Amino acid sequence: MERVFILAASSLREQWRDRAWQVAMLFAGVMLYFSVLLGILAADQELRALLDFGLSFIELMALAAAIFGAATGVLREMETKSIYLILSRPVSRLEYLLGRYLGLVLSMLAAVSLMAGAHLILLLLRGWSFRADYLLALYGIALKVAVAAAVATFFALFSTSALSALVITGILWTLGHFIAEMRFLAARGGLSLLPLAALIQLVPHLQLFNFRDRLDIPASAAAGEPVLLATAYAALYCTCCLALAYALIRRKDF
Amino acid sequence: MVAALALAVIVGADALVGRVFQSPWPRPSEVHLSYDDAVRNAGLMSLGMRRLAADIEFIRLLEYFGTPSERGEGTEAGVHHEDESPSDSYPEFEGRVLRILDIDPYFRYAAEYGAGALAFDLHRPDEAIAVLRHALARDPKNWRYQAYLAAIAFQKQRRAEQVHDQLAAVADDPEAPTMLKHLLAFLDLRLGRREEAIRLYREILSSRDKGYAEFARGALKRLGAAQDPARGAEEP
Amino acid sequence: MGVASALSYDGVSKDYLYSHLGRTTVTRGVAELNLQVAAGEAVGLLGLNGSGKTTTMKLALGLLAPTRGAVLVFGSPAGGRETRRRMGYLPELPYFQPYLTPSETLRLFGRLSGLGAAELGGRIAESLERVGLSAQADRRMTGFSKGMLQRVGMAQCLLHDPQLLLLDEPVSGLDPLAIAEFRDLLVRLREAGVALLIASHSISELERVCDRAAILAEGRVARVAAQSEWSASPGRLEDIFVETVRPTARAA
Repeated sequence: MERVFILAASSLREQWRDRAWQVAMLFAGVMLYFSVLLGILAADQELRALLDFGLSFIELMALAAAIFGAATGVLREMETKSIYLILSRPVSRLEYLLGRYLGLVLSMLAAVSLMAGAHLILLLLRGWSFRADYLLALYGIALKVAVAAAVATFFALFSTSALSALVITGILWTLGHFIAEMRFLAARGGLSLLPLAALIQLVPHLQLFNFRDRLDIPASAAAGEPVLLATAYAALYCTCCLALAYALIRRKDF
Repeated sequence: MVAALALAVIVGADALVGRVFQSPWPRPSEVHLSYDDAVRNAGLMSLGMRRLAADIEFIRLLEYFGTPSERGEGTEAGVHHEDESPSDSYPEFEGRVLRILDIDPYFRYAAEYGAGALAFDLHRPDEAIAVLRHALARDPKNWRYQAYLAAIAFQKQRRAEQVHDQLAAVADDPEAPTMLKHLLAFLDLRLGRREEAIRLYREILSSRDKGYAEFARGALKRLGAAQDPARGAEEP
Repeated sequence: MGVASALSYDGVSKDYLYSHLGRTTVTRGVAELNLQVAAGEAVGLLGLNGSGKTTTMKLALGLLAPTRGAVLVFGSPAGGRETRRRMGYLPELPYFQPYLTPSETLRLFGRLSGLGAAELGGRIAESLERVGLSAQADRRMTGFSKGMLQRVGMAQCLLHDPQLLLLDEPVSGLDPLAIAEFRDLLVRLREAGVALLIASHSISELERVCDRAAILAEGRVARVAAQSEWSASPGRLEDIFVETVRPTARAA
């Protein structure tokens, strides 16, 4: 396990030095400011708009940076052959994979925290009163992005193309928000929609993590947030994606 | 072996979540967005940003409806909605509000704002009732919507005092639309309660809705009242 | 054989499979490879580009799995954690994170090799001293020349006192002085009992360091020349190499 943490720390440092992350953080800052302007357009609902825009941009930026890091990280190390220097040491391929993924998740959490800090300052300056479910919204974002990063890690190794991994993960991200609609469609179709019905069984249920979107739902409409279910599901889904990634990397010729 | 097991676990977990997790959003069969509306919101919806999509639609609604000044409301205090016949203006208003509620059925402010504008600004109570019923279908225990329905019923009977009482009960909430206070101020003037109207207009000054704040400023001037109560009455 | 093998290839073949649109192409990396490297012995790997030198090295590290045959490192199957702990590897044109310093890089690799914090500082200083990089220990590697990066590469593979070194083009990018220093280092390591497998196009360097030279052609060991065959005549190894690979090159 120690080697996993060593690799995670190295991966974390690498992510933060990566220009892509810096650009993502800068863009996030600009978007947060932009959300203030849009909030003003929403009149009485300024704070709601500021809250929603901010949380949505935080999620998008974290997602972009995480799946980019996941899709390119291992592949880049394979291309530059720096992976040889790691795997020529007493490091198992599983430790390598876990270390990289953990570093990516930690860097994503750090990014979300930074952006959320800036967002909170903006909100508080505009007169918002802190509410605990804001933290729940951030937690949901973190779980969602962790799942997306695990999916991207798998597809990067499966397709050996960063672009393919990005595109496929992006598609699954959108499908993951449309499970109910896909079920509705599949239930109406015949044989031609069997592939869709099969796909539904594998696509991650991302709506489960959307605490951000369910901030003001009255108790009569939703019996509390399924935090435990979401956490367990995220852990399970990520583990399975990483297991699939390991199955690929275990026998890979470098 | 590992791969097969992982896939099996994913399938099992997805099945479990599908059974256990009850989405609070309308089922696809319950949503009545037009094709064009669905396409317009598809981008944000596909990213799981319902609230944001609803916010943007709400901003569009505000732009569509404009500020009180842009709508040419009351050039002098006490002259407000004299003509209570249904307005032909803003024919898309109801549809836009319903679209917002289809995206986010729990956007309470949008429902109240929409119903209030339809009932008391545009004098189209049936459309307002349709909006409130749409909102109540998703949030049946919301007493505020019931209060609006009652106010609309009293409005139809031209019972201004009862309308005021119903709306006053919901106006206290910090989340209540500024438009509501604006309407209550108008009703107070109608009912001869000048000081109460002035108090409400002063509250509206600090609202985030700049359109109504601007109107309130003008109203206070017309009423000869200072914006700051400590200054007392202004010179007419 | 009286001397224990640090590394042995026993009938090893490696085929690369490439599948595209339902068609699978097989490329042979190495075929029927039989080669041993004893402790304290330096064996050179010579061959044209694509002859299987790098494949041979990667098989020892477990980066590749043999299609047939067995690769043993200190008597155990290649690729195991404990065998890798006793090995050092310098790939051709090693890549390091440019924002890190040599010290930071070695610290990472040292920890991955299982070196404790207490001994790591001393080991890092010693490794950098051996490769002549002490003065640049804390300088970011952005802007390092190819030769300096090669030195960092050498330092990382020596850090944990390996008993078997696999060096792929170790003098690539080095100036003549650095080459001479590297050569002396390799001789000292060999005399200290470290087994060396060196793949290189620099035949003159292999002549000076190696006890034997295995010449690869089309993935096979076409010939193994002993030091006695060239020690009397400098440049003789090159002649042996050309004689061995020319027929193969012509046929291709």
